[in-house]
Amino acid sequence: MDWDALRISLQVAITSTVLATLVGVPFAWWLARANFRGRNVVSALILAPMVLPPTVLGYYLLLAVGRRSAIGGFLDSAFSFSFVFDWTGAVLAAFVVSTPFLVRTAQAGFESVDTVYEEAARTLGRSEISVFLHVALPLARRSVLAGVALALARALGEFGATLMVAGNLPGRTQTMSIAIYDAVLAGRTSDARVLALTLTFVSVGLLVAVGASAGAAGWRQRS
Amino acid sequence: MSVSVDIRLRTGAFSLDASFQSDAGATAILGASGAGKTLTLRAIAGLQTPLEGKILQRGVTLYNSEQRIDLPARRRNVGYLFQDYALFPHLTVAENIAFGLKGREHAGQRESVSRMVDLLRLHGLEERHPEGLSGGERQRVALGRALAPHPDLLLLDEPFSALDAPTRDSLVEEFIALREAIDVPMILVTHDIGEAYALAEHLVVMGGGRVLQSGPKAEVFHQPASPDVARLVGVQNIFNDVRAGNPVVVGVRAADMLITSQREPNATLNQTIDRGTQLLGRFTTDHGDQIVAQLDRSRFADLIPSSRWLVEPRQGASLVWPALLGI
Repeated sequence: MDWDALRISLQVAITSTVLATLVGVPFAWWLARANFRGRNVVSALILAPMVLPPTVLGYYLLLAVGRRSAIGGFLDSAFSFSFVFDWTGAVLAAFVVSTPFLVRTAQAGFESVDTVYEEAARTLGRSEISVFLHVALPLARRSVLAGVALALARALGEFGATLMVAGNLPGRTQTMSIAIYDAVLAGRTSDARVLALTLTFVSVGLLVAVGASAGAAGWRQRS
Repeated sequence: MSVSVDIRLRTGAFSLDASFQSDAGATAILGASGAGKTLTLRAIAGLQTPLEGKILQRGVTLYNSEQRIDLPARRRNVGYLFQDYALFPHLTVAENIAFGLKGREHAGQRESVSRMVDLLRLHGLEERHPEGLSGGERQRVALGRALAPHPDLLLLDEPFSALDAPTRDSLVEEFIALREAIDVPMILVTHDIGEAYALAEHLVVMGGGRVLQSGPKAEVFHQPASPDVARLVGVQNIFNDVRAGNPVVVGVRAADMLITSQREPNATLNQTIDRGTQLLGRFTTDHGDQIVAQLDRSRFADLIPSSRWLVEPRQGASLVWPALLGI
């Protein structure tokens, strides 16, 4: 057996989690502080990917970015690029599936921080970006890191939507989760066992690493 | 005009309609909780947007609904001392004080921080986190943080309410001394007339989201415009009476009530309240009014409940309002 699947899994999960963090954390802050009529509706809609079956999500993604869709057609004609049967399609699937976990956890974290600190920062001349980076984010860092860890774990384990969008091309789009399924289907039980154990160690190891850094962040404050 | 506020604001069911002007170095907004004091302060700082109105500070328009001016909080250059100080828990004392100095060169920041540390006697606490500070230390750090960027106006929300009594007394004294060192106009919010009188020259009395009276502190204190204002400036006795044939409302401070036993008595003693520094007697007059009088401890060593006394205001000490102002 080769280690392409592990490389692809890590590449997809890490890229997806970085994107989810860059988009999801500021969005979670905005959602926690926003005060408009449809706020609860938006909050609920964000969670839709958590309750929909991944294959259903994958199907919708195919409809959205497939070559015959408006977006897919444009990307294809303008850049000769397509998410379908490409590792970026796996990233897209993992991003859509895992971001709600991050947003939800981070939003709860931001909501638990008193707004008075952010107000203090504003009266001290800080811009909104500075308020976010230097006040909101450090004060909610435990929840944010927990959200990042959840998103990473979910992205690593993603199967259904990934298979629908990126397919199962060994060495190109075949992630660990899909490789395990493939190995079991083909009767390569020892491959399946090694892959499953590896994915278990990698997932748990990443969670422990994130948990430790969250703990370290907390310790710095107490000292 | 130093500070000029004229705003309408609504949050939930509460509506604020505040209007006052002050030239004083220090202005106190006095009122009970729910009077709209903090909301007014927040509007001046730009933390709450009014529905309409104007806010001017030394001729600079901070807010004007007609001209569509609404400076964001970060550009108002106003220092704000929050009620619970709101020190950043993840930053040290020095980092908290330097927080408003972003964008200035490093050496300048260090100098500003050390000046604040000197001014507010925070030596040795620079590397601590707020968690490890006493209430008084936290207040001084918060003050240093607000003052370091040289604000044009300092806003203080109940600056002493989170402190225990001895700390509060010494900090009020320190604060009076500090005012001479910093020379920043300030507006402070408090429910304590003693604090307001000690710290400010101008009083703005608020109740139910409105300004009830605004003026030099002695004027407001000695000539409250209505029974509601009188209560807030510490007039304990307010009752109906008739003067020259007209129904009126009369207010008398407990210290201005005279108690004698020689002549015809008009009131019965219900109880005495010994506050240690003050001995108060609670009387019911023959008209049914409840009266509180401050008693001279040497003359009234033991007062028997149900004993009869003549209780009357000291000459010229009564505040009189037309009855239509209500009690």
